Amino acid sequence: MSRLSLRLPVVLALVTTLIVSQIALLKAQDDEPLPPAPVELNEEVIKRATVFVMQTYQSRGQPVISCVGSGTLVSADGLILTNAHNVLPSETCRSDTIVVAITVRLDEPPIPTYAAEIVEASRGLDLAVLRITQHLDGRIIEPGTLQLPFVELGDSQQVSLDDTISVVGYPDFGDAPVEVTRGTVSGFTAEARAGNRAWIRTSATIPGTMSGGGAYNRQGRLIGIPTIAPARVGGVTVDCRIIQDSNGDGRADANDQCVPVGGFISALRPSHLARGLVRAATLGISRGQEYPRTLPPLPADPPRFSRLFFTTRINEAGIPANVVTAVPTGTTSLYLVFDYDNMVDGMVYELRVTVDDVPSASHSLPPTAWSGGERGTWYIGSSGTPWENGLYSFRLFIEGREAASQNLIIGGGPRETPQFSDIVFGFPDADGNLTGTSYVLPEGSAVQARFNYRFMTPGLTWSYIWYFEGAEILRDTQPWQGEAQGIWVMPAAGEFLPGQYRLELYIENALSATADFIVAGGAQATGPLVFSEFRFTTEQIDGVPTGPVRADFPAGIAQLYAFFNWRLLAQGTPWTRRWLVDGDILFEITEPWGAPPDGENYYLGLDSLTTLPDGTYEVELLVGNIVLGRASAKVGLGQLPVGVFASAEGVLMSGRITDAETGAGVPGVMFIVLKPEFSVEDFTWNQAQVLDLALADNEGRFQIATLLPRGTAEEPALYSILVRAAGYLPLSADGIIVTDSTASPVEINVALSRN
Amino acid sequence: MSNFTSFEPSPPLNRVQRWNIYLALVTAVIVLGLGLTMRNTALTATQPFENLEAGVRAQVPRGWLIDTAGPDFVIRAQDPDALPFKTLLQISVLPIGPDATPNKVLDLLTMERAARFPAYRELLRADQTVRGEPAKRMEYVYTQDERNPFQATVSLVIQGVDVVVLRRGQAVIITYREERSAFTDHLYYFENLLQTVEIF
Repeated sequence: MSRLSLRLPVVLALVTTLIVSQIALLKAQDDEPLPPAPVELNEEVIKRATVFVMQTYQSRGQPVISCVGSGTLVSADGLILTNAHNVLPSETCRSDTIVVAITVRLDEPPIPTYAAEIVEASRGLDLAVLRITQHLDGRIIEPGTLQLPFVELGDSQQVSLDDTISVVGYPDFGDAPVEVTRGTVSGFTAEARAGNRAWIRTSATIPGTMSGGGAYNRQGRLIGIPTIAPARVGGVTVDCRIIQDSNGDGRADANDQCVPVGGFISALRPSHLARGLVRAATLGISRGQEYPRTLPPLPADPPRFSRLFFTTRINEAGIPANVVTAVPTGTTSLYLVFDYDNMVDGMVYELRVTVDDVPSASHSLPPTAWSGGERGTWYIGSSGTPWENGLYSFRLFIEGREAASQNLIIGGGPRETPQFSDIVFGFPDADGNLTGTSYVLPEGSAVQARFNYRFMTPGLTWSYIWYFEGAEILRDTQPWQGEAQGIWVMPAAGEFLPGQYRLELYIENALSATADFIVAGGAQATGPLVFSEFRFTTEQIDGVPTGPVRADFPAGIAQLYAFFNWRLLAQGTPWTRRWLVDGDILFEITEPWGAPPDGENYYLGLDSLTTLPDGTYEVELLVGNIVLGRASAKVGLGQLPVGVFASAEGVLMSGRITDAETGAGVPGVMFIVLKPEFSVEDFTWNQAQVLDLALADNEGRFQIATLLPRGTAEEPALYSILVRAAGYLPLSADGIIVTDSTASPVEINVALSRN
Repeated sequence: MSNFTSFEPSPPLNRVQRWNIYLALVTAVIVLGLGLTMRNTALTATQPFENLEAGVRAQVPRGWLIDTAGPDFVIRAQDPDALPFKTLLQISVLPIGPDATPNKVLDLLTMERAARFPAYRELLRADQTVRGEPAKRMEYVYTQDERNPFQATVSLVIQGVDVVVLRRGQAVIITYREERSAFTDHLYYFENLLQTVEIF
């Protein structure tokens, strides 16, 4: 017998044993642990989560691109955070479809893939949230079916000076791959309504088409949205590119659509200002029907800025506490204050600052969408960062045209010049003391103003002027007869009707202090009573609640209406309404009061895509930055379900699955994360045990759409994972620890062995 | 200069050696058979599924990812190992009117899918029985609606089958979907499901 015949049985036995062992291996779970490696900024995930946004319209059967920008995916099912000016139709951005292009391969330009719709937009903050709704061929995308890479919103309030940031976006018309630009935080700019952190300033050099993209901290959290409105001169976009023959005349020339690109970006909208928009979109909540109000027609007169002055302090009500004409060395807080008229939200305005004739990018505000409404008082400035000595020139522009300017000197020591400051208003009590000090007062006849004075000398000429709705109603000039320093109370007799008032104080004909206040509502012990009788219901017809009126609603309602009555609120008075869910502001709108001065059944509505999630829904009403009404209603359990804001809380798990032999990514592999209460051994392949799963892309990359809820140091959340693919040995691991201090994202790289 | 190698003829095997070889061969064949049986058992292993509320009982493949919490199906089973398409078996229940016919149910499915799946085409409709109950079978194809655009692969052609069985005011739809090239090879999963499904 040959040797072959001798070896055959042995070979057969070996082969058989191998087959059996492979089958056994297939059924076995590999318990080798895969320690998660906490990583910092994951550039690849961030790049993939960055999209290119195009506004397009149909012309002669062809799509025409009118405006472009960047955006960032903030949820796996296709919510995109971007600039409002990138997606809202306008004169220069004609639009019937918003096209979303994604980065499929990192070294290549983005590929137009989806169409999106605007979920929420704030023209003033220049922020918008889109939802991907269709493929480009028109097929509807079922909600929740997309599994796209996304990033988490970070806490922009925690950003500090000199922090390193990475700005991600598309540097061109979508002809170049997504780009990362690094820089540092160079300061913060304050703006009326948005507060001291209205803008994060950066040293990074960011092209205009990256507007709407993302700025990230070292942990890879989105902390800002690079923002610049396309610069215009006389309403005409100055920096734009012609890229196609949009009018079909056979030539691409000046008569064709010019796509604005903006200048270079130095300002980021902090992500905390986008949090409400993103949360509302995540919850599927939108603003519903509201009381039909009369808004003033668009102003016919040209917009203007006037009464420019400087202050070093803005109080909590947004009122400048003093007026300065020069400030000493070492100043860290300075604001330019001005009045505005005939403005329209969305107009582009700009502040250019020079120091000793040298442009100062850090103190300037690049072209920005206006958000203050038609008229009022506005401020721009900064606090907490040093202002160097020099002669400052502040020039304000509206739509590219210079509108006003003012100069200021910073330097020298503290000056002991006569000064008024810190005006407040109130009513005298029985003892003549000022009570109920505020900037919103009830209707009455004995308003008093109280202010501080310093460095005054007897005989110094001072004057005051009272205004009502912009018209002077009282003026007087007197020699100073008080002390050098103290508190002055100034009565103002007269009938104070509902409306907006202003007091200006002058020393030697120079403005020294000013403050505005509003008279609204009737008197009550705690302040003005403007809004009353709050009630909630789920249905209304023509402003009359038709559903049950209650404060607790069962789960599953689709609409919620808050009703209230009001009195003595003059038309045109700026007021703010807010919807909050579990204490987080979802919507906030400030506009002039557009209803009669007194009335009943003003209503504000909330709508949902399906049903309103369980939670405590609160409505807050403010006049002059003062909360004057607040009420809440519970839906279901009265608390949002745990993990509903997965896009903002928890640990992002992503990674790459490769072939152990070749190192190449393995596409299509299923990566499963079990809920913390289940281990691999407990897993019975029931979807109910699965926290989430992801399929690897063509490079083997995956990202779990649901963020892993965190445990605590004492009770960490323990997760198990499984990786399965035909042709490879399965892998699994228990005990992946996620606590409140676990870095996010967690990157897991898996090398699969062939079986 | 040449090298020569001579082979000595093997000496004849004795009886013990011969029996040893026969024994080794028989053992190998038995082990091989055992292995193949185990493999087949592993591949065709099933687990029971029962939903009393929906009135459906069936055997579904073991080791597949089972989802029973979907809004539009009673059970959905997917093969986690399968590449590039996760083989799918699904049972769903659709409320219908008293005059509905299996054909009408399939019409509704066709209209819904044509709007959802790219290049959706119906291939055939035929009568069949499911455990003695009359049913209607529809086969169709479409291209993969990629949930993950980063796959960036050539679109997959997916072939599917729906079998519709009517009962009191409801249509039970039993579905199988697989990548077209593997459709026939894995059809036995579906046949097993049809043989074991009980609608009560």
